[in-house]
Amino acid sequence: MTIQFNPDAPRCDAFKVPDRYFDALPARVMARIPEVAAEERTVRRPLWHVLRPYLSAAAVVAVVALGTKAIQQREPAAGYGMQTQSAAVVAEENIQQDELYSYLMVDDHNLYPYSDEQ
Amino acid sequence: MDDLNSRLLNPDTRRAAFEETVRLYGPRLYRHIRSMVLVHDDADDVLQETFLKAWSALDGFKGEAKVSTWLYRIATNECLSFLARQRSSVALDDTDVERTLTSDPYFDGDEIQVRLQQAIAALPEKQRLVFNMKYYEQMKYEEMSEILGTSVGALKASYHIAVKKIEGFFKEVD
Repeated sequence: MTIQFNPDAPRCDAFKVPDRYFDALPARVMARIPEVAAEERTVRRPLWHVLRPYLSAAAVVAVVALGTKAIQQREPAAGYGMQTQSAAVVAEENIQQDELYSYLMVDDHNLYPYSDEQ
Repeated sequence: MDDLNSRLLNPDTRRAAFEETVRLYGPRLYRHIRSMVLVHDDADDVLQETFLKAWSALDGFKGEAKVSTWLYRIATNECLSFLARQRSSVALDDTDVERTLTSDPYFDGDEIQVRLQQAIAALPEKQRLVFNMKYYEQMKYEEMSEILGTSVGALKASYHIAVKKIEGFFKEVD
């Protein structure tokens, strides 16, 4: 007898499955998926998201510290400038005093004690 | 995006939605896999691996494709991987196909069915896939095109060639 293949003939499904195979399938598959995996998935965040608040706080502290240090470095320099300026004023006054004594043609050594007393 | 897609993407509803997905698509995917691997135990293993892979890849599923298309793609890749592993260990010829089928307690086919499976097993893998999806699963070419990433025209040609080869196989045996 000649057997011909007819692609339009009704299909015969020769592939069978055990009883209630598809009923049990979801439970069998889900049993192989750990519960923890789902929980971890919900809380897992990129490392950048976890570190961002700490990095922000560290950046603020660093800016404040650097600013404070810069101000502290500037203040002593300003104080030294004032001292330098005072010394210059004193030196200028001494020169004027010397010129005055020279003009009066008086003995410097005699007048200096008086000027110090004044 | 349909309701099942959105629940699969939501971490709070994901697990329940996935169980529903297994219930919904399990039979169709099983049929798809079984027609490629032939034996029930192998089909069961490949089907479970398919769902485990799908679960692991859920983060990459954007919900743009249909769930069924996405699952079919994974199942197809798992089938091809299984067949590649099987081929590397043992090459099946016509006699092996017959022995494999008749020794499977969950194969209930007559001589014609065995011969048809031998003819299908002799096809190149891609043609085998196309033939099974069209002949047994009666899938539309458009859906097959989305799953296999092949044009509709190429799929029609592939199915036509597969049918001719199977007809030739039957004539040759007679």
